Amino acid sequence: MVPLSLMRTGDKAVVRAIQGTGHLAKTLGQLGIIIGIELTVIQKANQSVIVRIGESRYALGAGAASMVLVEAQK
Amino acid sequence: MSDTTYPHSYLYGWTTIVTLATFVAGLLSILEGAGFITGLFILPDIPGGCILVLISALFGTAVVKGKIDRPGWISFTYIACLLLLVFAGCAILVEGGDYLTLIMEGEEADIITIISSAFIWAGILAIPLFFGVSKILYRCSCGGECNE
Amino acid sequence: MLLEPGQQAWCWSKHKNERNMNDIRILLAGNPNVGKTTLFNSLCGVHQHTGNYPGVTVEIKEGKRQVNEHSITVSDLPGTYSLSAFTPDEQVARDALLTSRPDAVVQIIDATNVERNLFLTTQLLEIGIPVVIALNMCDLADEQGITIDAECLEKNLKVPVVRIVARTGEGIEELVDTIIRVTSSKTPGNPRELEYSHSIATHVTEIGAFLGSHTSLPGNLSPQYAAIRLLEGDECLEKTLHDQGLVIPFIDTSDPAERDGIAEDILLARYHLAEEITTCSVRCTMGRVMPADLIDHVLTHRIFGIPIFLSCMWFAFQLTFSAANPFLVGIEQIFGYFTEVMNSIDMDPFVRSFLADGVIGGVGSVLVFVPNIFIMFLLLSILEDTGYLARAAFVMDRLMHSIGLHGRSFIPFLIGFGCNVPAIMATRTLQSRADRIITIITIPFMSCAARLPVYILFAGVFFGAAAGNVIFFLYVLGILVAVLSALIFRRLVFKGEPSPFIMELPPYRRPSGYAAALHMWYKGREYLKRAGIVIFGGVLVVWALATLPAGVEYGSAESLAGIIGEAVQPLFAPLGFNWQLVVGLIFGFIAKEVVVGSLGTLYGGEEMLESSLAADPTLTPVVALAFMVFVLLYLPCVAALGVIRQEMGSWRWTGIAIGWGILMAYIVAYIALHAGSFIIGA
Repeated sequence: MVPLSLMRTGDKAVVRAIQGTGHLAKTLGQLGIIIGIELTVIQKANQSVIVRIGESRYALGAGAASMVLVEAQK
Repeated sequence: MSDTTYPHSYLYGWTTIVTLATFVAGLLSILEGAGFITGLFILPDIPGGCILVLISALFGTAVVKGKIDRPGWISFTYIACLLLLVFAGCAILVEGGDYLTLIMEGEEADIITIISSAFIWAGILAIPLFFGVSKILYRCSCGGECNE
Repeated sequence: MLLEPGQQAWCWSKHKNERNMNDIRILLAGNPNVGKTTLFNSLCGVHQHTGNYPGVTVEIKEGKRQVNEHSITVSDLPGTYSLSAFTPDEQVARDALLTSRPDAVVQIIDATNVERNLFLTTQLLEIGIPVVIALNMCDLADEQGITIDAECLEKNLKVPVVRIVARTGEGIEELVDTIIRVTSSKTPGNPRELEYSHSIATHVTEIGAFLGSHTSLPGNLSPQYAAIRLLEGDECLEKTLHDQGLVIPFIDTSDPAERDGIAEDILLARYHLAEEITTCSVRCTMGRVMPADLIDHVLTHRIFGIPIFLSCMWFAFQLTFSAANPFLVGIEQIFGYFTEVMNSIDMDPFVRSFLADGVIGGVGSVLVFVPNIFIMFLLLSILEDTGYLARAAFVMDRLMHSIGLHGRSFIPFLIGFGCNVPAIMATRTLQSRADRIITIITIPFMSCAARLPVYILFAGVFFGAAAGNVIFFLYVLGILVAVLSALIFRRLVFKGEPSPFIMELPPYRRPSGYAAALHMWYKGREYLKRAGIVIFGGVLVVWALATLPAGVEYGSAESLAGIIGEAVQPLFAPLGFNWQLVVGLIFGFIAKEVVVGSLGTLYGGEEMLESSLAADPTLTPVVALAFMVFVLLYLPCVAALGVIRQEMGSWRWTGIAIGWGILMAYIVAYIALHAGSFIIGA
């Protein structure tokens, strides 16, 4: 498992854990970024990422992206 | 994907030409703005020149990427063309506004300044590239492959 | 509105149910950016602005539609992903849904993204209010190769589903009929229930039974639903019940980790239902590389992202001024002509003074900056419609983060260049209170369009050909002061990091010129109305003060304005302002444009203002510069102040915001005066 912020553009990954409690996990949960969901990294600017889940795109700042632990998919 | 309606290799070559053209146009605008060169048929405009150089960097990136990464070439070329054309349109409006102001204030004004912005010269070159690339981009989105 | 989640009191208002049988109240709910406002417009035949940026609607709007004998009142809620509100705009939506007991909720679902939207549906179904699903953007879904089986969706959710295209009005009639049918039955129907695991179901039953027998719940919540909300972690409800002295089984007895686990299980149950329903009813026929991915790739590029954004801003800035210039000159000429006519007509000098200096001068000073503002609104709405603004927020997040602000703060800043009032309201989309306060304090340093006439006047008179550069410098200076203030407040007052940046990116759309023009017109008109009344009134007050007491020379030191100005002027002596400038500043509090209007009055007429200023020996270019700096930074106008108070929710922070502005204005103007003198002296 690696933080989402370390993935590269074009990688596909499955969310395995969301670190920290409280608002961040809940906010991510509402958007559909939950454990077990598959996402595609479509942009990476330093530590910030844009991911795509299905038809939606989400921008995550460096702080948020480093809290999401993912497992890369081949 | 070789049976494409638009010949990719021509478009790719054209990108190189537009890269150089925008770079030269930007450089001339800056030099004229700084007062090093005068009398050219280009509007002196330092910030505008910098923006042109930026766009030429986008085209340049597209050319470099295009060697191995066709979607990368398409996306960079598309955005660079789009920006160039939109900015050229803005430049016409800006110069047109200034021209109209001078006329209304009863001062001398030369209508030719409206179209003498370097953006317009570079923009004309980019028009065919824009249509070609947007067609490819559209095909990418409709189930086709971007890669040849 | 500025409350931490969990901190606010439940504002359970007591709604009387003594409405006419034919009155129907419905709420429009849904995720951000799914077309709620568009539907609202077609339902009620009004033209609220719709945007392609999450969070355009930050407050509830109401409208009506009359169908035969039924009168339907429609409320448009801010977009929300769920009912566990984190940001103030979401809280507004949640409170409206839970407390006002509407006859039905219409949830708008974005057909291109059903699964994510269904999460909210799973929550709406449990409230116990009839739900109608409006499946919007079916045309876009078709284009993208997504087919949705509406009947299957209806069968699975057990609530009516209507296909609509809100943009064209397709399916609206059917939706209205369905709403009337659903509400006339007066029962919530029998919607799909969530299947919770055994342990959760047990907790729900237990807590529900306890609540049902011990207390009357606020807002007619059913005990079962209240139990689910408590288990999901609704801190407000928990607090309300605590205040009644209740000790709720499980909620108060178990440890937080166990409760977090339960909350997560409920979340997953919701997603499973959403997924299950999506799997059966949505078919995606094409596997595609999306063009938006390719475009995002460049526009949010690590290196190119910021320069691209800055170039767009540069052109927007250029267009705002150059393209508006001809209109401006035209308006000036027309008013010059009016004044001439006025002076040539033989009439009582007092009446002439009133008409020429007061009325024409006042109206002229309002109209002169209208073209700039309209064009600025037009450009902003075009940028927003394309979907680029949200990307710009992402691109700017890193920069904003390094000065201790949240990426989303950037959009309010951008709006602030047009007008500070909507900018301050836009801070509602920020989650953390600290982020919001810092953003609100710094927004007034964004030079709004109303300050421009002051710069145009002074820079034009005192800096001639360099006027454009001076004005650009002032804009940059405003941004620098904002950055500095943000850093100071983040380092000293709100220690710690800004909250993490998470944002949904809307799809790219081709902007429609008609929609943008419409937006410009409504924004501009609203602005014109408010500004017009305030400014015109302000100018008339200044005229009266400059004329009275009767018999004094107009605008002289003996007039009331002169007396006030001279009394306050010593305070501003270190900055080199004369009493006319001081009076201008005082009236500038009404609205910044009034500065020009009132100076025009004090120097004896708008059209002679430029030459009178140039001839005044107390005014030098450096004093003019210091004055422009002061105008840039000091008080926000009355309207902005009202909104600051409203959004801060505290007089203390409002006071701090004002005091900070004046302090910065004085210090920076002083520095500008001396640095300017030094440079000129050297």
